[in-house]
Amino acid sequence: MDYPAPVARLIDELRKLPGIGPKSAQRIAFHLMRGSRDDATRLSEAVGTLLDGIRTCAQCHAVTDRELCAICSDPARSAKVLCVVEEPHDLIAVEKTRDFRGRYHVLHGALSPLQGIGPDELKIQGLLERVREGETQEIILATSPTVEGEATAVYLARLLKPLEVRVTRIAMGVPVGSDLEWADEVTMAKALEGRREY
Amino acid sequence: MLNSLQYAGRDAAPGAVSQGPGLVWVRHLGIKDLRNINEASVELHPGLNIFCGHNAQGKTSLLEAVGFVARGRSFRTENSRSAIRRGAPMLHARAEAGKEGHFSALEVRVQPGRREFRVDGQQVSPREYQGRLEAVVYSTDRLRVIRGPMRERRQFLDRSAGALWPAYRTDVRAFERVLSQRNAALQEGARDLPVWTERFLELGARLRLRRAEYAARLSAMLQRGFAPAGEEYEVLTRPARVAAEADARSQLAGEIQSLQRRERAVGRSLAGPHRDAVELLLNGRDAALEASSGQARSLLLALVLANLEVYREETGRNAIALLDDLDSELDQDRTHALCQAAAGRTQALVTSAHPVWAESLRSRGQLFHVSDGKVQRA
Repeated sequence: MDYPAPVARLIDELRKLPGIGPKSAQRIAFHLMRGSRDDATRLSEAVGTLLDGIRTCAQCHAVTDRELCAICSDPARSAKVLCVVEEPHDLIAVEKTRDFRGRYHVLHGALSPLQGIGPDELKIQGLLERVREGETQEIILATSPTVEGEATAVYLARLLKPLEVRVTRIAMGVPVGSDLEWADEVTMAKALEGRREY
Repeated sequence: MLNSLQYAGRDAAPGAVSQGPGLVWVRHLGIKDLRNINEASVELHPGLNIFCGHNAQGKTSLLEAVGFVARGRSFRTENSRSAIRRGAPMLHARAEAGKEGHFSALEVRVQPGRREFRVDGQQVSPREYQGRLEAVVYSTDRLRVIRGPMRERRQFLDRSAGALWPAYRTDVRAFERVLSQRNAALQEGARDLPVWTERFLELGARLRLRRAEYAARLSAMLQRGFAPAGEEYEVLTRPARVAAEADARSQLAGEIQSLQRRERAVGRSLAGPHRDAVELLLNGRDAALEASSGQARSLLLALVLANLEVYREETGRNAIALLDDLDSELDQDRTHALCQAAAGRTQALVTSAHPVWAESLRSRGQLFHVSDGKVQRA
């Protein structure tokens, strides 16, 4: 027997979400069916209004509900250091350290010819303009340590260096606060490769 | 050197005999619902174990079970779920493995879409599990490593080295990813092609170097190892090995430079580790073209054993040798030489469909008869 159309439709929509397979989609759909109408209304409203109030920051392209995001409009945050990340959630990850007092630039992806993502698909022009304005002294390339993230970092470094700005790349190595023996071999090898004078 | 294959009399209880000092071996093998094996429980010999039976009786499945315990997957198929006995929900492979005085129960359960690892009954993560038991495999369908296209030999080197060095495995994966990205960039004439070329050069040079180093180590082992009938084996990688990563890089850059126009025309990377030659030499000549059937089998065995030796040199531990269908195409002399080479260095599990051949090895270990998914000591 097939599901009634409304259930099937919900399952189909849920399946499009990242990390949700057919079984999870079914489970969520039935969970919602069993729940109260209020819960369902709140969820549908949250989804419905999500895109209404949301935009990307005119300067750094982070997700915000204003013209300029909270970080770009905070005078206490230094514009001398820009941290370049791939996705908005990467920004949150750096922000959680509470140690970084500079500003960000979100690329919204990484170079990937296989997926048809080239330099024009990323927010690179805006980054160059910000640097040309002259206030920036250092760019931290915090793209992911994947093949695509690495290539994106190399691409940006080539564009940025002629602009006479300091370009750095985040280090890769062993996690802090745990014993060395728990580090996987590849990370350990990276950490050895990236060792520094002490 | 201790010759464990000889000092175990045919009536000695397997397991009661100690293997060479510090050798890892499987004392007991338990199987449930693996292909046509309903349930099996086998006490193994620390040296040579010969499984004899007609075709399709379950001999190879016994070896496959050890492979499952070692690596969590089948060496016969990419699709592990196809190894689950028809009608059964999951397969179970369990081995009591370790060194004398320190054995643990290693267990793998495979069901469609799910794999579980246990050590002494405790479930552990795959990362925690891996490396507890290593196995090297010889089977006649691997003869394509000797005679098949070049890709087979590249893959053989990369997989064997990848099993030893996780960083090698990561390098191979990263290179393959960069290769497909660069190919896509070439096809589209993408503006960011230079960046992909740069990454390609870096990862390609590193993989070339690593592969050449591994080939050199295998070659050195081959020269000291199993070599029946006075044959000489060698592994060669081309282009020839260079000393440093920077040299490998400029070498590869030169090749890419000269192929620039053609690469753009065909939309593919035309030089690099994915196209390099890996040659197996037999008495100085290309084995892919010249080796006889028996010679090809000996060379493959020699490679497997050399691999095992590199593993031991690197980790201080031995890998179990799984030698499938070690059939009559290896004559008496070659078989004898093989047993000499393996003796005292590791535990070996061997299958054969030829009773006479199997019987001739009986004095060197334990002979089992396999019939209709059931195993019996002979």
